[in-house]
Amino acid sequence: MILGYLGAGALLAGLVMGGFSALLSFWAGWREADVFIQVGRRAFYAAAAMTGIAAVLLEVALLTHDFSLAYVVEHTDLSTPTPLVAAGFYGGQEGSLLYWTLILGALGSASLVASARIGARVAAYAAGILALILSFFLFVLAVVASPFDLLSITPADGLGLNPVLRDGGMLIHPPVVLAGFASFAIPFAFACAALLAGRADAAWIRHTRRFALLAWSLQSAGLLLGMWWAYHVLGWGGYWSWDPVENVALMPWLATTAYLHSSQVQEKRGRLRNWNFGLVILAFLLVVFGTFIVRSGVVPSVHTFAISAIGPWFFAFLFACLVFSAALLAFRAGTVRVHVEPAPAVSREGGFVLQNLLLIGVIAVVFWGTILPLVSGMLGAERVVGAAYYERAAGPIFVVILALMAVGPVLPWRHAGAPVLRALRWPAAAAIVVLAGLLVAGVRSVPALLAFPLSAAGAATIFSEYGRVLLKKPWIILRKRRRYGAYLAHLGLVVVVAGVAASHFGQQEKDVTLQPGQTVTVAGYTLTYTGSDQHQLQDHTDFVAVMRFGDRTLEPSRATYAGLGGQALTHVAITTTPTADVYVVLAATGTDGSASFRVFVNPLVTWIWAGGAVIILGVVLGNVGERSAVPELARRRVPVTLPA
Amino acid sequence: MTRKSALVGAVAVVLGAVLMLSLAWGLQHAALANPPVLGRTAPRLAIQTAGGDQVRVWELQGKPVVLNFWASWCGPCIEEGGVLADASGARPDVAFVGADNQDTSSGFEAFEQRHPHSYPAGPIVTGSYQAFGVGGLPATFFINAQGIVVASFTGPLDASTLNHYLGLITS
Repeated sequence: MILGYLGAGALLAGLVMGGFSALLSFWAGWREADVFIQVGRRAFYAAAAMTGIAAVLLEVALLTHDFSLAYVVEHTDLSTPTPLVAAGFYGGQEGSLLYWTLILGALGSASLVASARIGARVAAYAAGILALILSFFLFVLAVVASPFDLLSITPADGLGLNPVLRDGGMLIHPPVVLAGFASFAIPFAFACAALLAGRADAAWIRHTRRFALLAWSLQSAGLLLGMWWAYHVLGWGGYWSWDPVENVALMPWLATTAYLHSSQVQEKRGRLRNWNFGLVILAFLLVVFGTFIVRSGVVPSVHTFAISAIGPWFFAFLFACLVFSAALLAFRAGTVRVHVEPAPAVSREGGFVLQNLLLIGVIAVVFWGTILPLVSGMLGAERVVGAAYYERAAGPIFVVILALMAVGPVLPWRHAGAPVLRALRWPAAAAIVVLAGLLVAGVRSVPALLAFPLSAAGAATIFSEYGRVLLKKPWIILRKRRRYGAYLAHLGLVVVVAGVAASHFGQQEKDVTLQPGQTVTVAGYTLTYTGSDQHQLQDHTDFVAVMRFGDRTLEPSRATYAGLGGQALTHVAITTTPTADVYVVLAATGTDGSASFRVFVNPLVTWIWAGGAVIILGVVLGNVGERSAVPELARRRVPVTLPA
Repeated sequence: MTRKSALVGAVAVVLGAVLMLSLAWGLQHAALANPPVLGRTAPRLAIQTAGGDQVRVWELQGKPVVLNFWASWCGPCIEEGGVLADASGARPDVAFVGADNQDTSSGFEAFEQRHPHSYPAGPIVTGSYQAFGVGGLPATFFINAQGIVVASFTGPLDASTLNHYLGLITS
């Protein structure tokens, strides 16, 4: 019980410090009062530290099974394995909000350290904006949805974690996605601060580049881990269903992808200043929008949080962010506009602009599909769109983006001439060879005939870029590792696209009921059902069917959780061959020893996970040891004078 | 302010207002926040079978209805299929309806070929699963002869559970 009081106290103290930091930072930034700017920043660190203390207290309460706390009762029980008890920290609405706030505090503090070098006023305003966001979350945690609420009677045991969440994926997917969401606030705060301070230069971009990359990388990893988890846990043979929660995680990722490219145009060519402000603001607004959608239950999804009172608060927060951002762009963007000659269409900057517009197009498609049930419902006839809408509307745009990935890396800044055409011979050859191969193999699906050759072209572009430099000046790769790291990320992405295309267009499935000893063949893969078994485990009963696949054994199972009202969960069995996954779901069992299975053969799914790893590797290798260039003028430390 | 920027501003304000209004509407009508259809008249819902016939649940009044929400990609839905098929055969006094949701037409057709329903089933053409507050599949609603939702069950049904609920709407 004492943990509950301490935790609630830490959150309140954090809220007070956060509010103080926000007020002081804005005032001190406006007056350019260096001492108070530092005090404001330190108040932010204190608020972040208080959030850290609250997080530690909640984790201790979970691990010690302190059932005087409602949150501990609702999300764990004595039978839950310890790692999952620890993961219960972010397994529910209140705890996941605290985790969000913890990451925001930590990354916000990291971004504010040494922020004075980009200008005292920008640093102060950024601290103020971060403190406002942090304070909002601390307010919700302290007042509306506290993880430290106490029960009047302490029960002997808890209710336990939802069976779907009792999985290894629970240990990695939610923390990565939530950290990704939280980290979008950093570029947003600095972009808004630069706008408020009327700074048109790219210092804020350089200062927050690592945070933007971190947000993008975490979100990339979070999306892929979510796909991996859905694929391994939910037995429907797929990994992406255009669920509203998937959509709202995808949209900020798309906006940040656009920003990571367009920010280079500002850094190198001084163009697209307002556009970059807009993209960073859009990415953060999409995060807030997504958080509202996920946590308010306004759109049904497979990802559901228990309904609580936070919906209206997040609605108000989204409204405030929208109005603030719109006002900022409307009234300050004009002050940072610089007239430059339009970029030639066929150039690197032209390619980036086209890519940005295409990504915005995808965001528009996904956004419309996500809010259509609400807009149509408001107008009287609720409509929901499915995967077909997204594939038809966004598919062609993705095809053009894929083609651009093959061409873009060879486009030079300013103007593209004849060397570009020479550089494109390898990707063109790869696309033609793959297209011919597919046609000979009898593939007639137009989307497949576009996706595979264009993926091959994208990969060929990257290989030829690497080959060209490795043959002549290999050390350039180290010197320009940011560029070659990005190429590696491109390569990872085309591998992901190839995996998605193969598993989407080539999936085969069969439903079958087998007696022990009988076999089933799907897409040339033969499985033999040898029998079934039942195991009583710590918190559930497992009914396991055993199948032989060559010399491998597959054990699809169904787990029944007696302590949770008999809730059942399917455990999929997957084995991977060089070309496909054999994916078996145990659908039902008969009293005569028979068992019903759904067997999928999913080509090249492993490419998706491998491509994801290459993307992250590219980002890491491209940025290890990279020092962000800071203009000499801004590098000087601002002397601090104490008031007399 | 130029005419162009005024136009952009006006469009942004209108779009922002539509967004916020629709989100506010969503808050008032949140599917998951608003599941208590229990004890109320069942929301209007109709499905279209593979043969093209429409079955309107609200026109089935006078007969108890078992309304099962399912999808072709839902493993537990296959598991409970046999239980529902047996019950629909044994209880001609009860109408069974299968509402396919969040599904593709090819998925539905392939499912019907492999596991043909013994009672009317197909994609929802009128109404929505949101109106019933369905948050996970399978979900089954038990509607009495007066059209009132008496009970609901989320997850695969077994024979004894189904019989228990059938008793509630046929007694």
